[in-house]
Amino acid sequence: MSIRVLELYPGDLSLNGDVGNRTALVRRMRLAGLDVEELSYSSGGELPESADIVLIGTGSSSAVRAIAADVDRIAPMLRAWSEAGVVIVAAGAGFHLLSTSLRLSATEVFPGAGVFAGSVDSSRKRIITEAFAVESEFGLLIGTENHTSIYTGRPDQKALGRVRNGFGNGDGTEGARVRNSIGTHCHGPFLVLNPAVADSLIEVAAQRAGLEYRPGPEHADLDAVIDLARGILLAKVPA
Amino acid sequence: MSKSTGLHYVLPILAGRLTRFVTRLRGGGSAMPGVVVQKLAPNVMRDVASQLPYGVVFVLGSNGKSTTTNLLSAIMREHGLKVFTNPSGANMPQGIASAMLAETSLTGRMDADIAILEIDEGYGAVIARQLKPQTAVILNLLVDQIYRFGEPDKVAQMFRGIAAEIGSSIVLNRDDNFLGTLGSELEAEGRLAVEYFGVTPEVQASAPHGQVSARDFSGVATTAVRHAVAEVVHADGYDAKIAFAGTVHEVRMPSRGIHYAVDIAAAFTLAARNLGDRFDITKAISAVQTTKTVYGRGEILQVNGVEVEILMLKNLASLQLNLDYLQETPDSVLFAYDESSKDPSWLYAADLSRLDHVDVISGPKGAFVALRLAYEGKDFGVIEPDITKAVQRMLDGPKPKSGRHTFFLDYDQMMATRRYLGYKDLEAGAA
Repeated sequence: MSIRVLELYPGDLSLNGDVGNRTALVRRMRLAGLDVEELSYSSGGELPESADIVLIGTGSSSAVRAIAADVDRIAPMLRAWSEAGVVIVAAGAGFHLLSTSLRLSATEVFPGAGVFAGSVDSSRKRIITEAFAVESEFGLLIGTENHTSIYTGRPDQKALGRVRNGFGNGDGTEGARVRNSIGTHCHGPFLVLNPAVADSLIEVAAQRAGLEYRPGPEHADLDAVIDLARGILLAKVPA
Repeated sequence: MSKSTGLHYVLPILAGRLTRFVTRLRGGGSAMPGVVVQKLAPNVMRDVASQLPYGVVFVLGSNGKSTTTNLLSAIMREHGLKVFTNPSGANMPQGIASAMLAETSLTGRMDADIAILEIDEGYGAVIARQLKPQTAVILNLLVDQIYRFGEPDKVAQMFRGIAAEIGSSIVLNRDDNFLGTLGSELEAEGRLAVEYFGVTPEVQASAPHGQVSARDFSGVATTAVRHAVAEVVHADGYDAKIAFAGTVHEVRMPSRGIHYAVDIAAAFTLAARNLGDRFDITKAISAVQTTKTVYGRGEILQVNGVEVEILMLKNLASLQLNLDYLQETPDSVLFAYDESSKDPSWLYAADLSRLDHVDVISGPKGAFVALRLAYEGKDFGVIEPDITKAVQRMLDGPKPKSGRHTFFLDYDQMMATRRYLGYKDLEAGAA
């Protein structure tokens, strides 16, 4: 029994080292002795029958235009997975493509996959926050944001957290959370710098697969280095 | 335009010189004199540039600007031209103005035949409006400075804007995704002569990660097989073969890799364009082969009987290409990451398989490198944020079997390292 990690559009949505999210999850799972199967999906391809963790990353607006139609094509499957409790981590453009609608300019609006109940206006001025910090149920999340969007969640759509430093969704909240799916503007990449989220998601995925995830001493060693890197960004968060 | 520059520039240039003198006494601040002159006489740069018989050449691109500027300058000098060029990295408006000022007489004249300038893409259009370059070369469009530009498409827009200010001709990397598209647009427009340099499909395919050029999603396929004036037909270590005018020439390069060979092809193409019948490929090759590397770009320093090779890592492409063209797995490695490198995300896109360990990690953001290696399960010795202490630690350690330390350095750490190792030529240079 292995855990299947599926990366969506890795050749298109990879502007900010997004493969790092896969790197972080796979490393932590393998250190815990779990078997991992790494899969990827690109436009026009065929989705695997099942996945335990689905990743989709950041990209340019031209990349979004190039794959929007394909995202629409696989949307029913992505929604079904999310509703069934599959772990989905969507960052930046990937998050936007999984919302309900995505505006790129005054005249261009694309339908999103509808995993997250909110609409995105990605035609705003660029926001860049080196030390993007978010209070969440996972603790303080840290990373970098670099986008041109406002995300307006439906009132019943839970956010990932509240922005402590940066812009996030534009209304003081950041990202979105529904069942085991997370959308965020945070990269660095996101899971690389936020092991609490990574561990929590792995635990869920393992449990759903009938496996147990138990971090060990090697995780602690890794986390000590993560703390050093986090510390650099945390020092830049205004008190 | 009137060539009667002259007396009205005496005061501004004197003021700039004075500022230059004062800032140098204080040790640095090479852009300040430019600020002063620009304020006092905004047209001085344009008038100085307009007198040059071979005009102004812009060298643009995400990576390789300093190297190509250096190669092109050497080629032009070999052909007997007096070349004015800006010091590596001084590629924004005030830095260029300061560099020009240092070579301009009080009456606003420069003793040069041609100005070859590396130009920052963000300021290129502004500088072009001032200096009116006749020709430009664009080397590549890579995923670079996302923290500053947002997305590569923005940089493509900037290149379009700069191209619109160029007078007569442009030389482009045929095999770069975005530049291929730009070439099609410029050819259709018909205002500029457009020429290309490139690598053969075989060379491109044999490079472990190609040229790492950014993807262009615009969907405009450049299906036309274009002629390349200079084409790299072989690149392996320090050896390249470049086809020019129907003949394949062997070139022993000052540094390694497909990226270096491409820069040479770019320099050949642009020099041939500018010199016309005067261009002599034998002279050009001789110039390239005897050129020293620009500091910190594959430069090898001698320190107490051990070699120190400095490789720059300003973005994914520079790190990846420098890794891809290592001759063997380096046995003694220093890796430094700078505060000015804002977003470390790209480190995760790098294929680090050519490294089996790093001895010392340094720089204010060294922990990001340590973390990248930790996720890879690679040993990284120690983290010493202070670069001079880190360098000393490397030198104090066991002498590497290979006889060479390999330093991957961000820009500021590269400067500090050279200074620490006694290479003070930068301070004494033309800046």
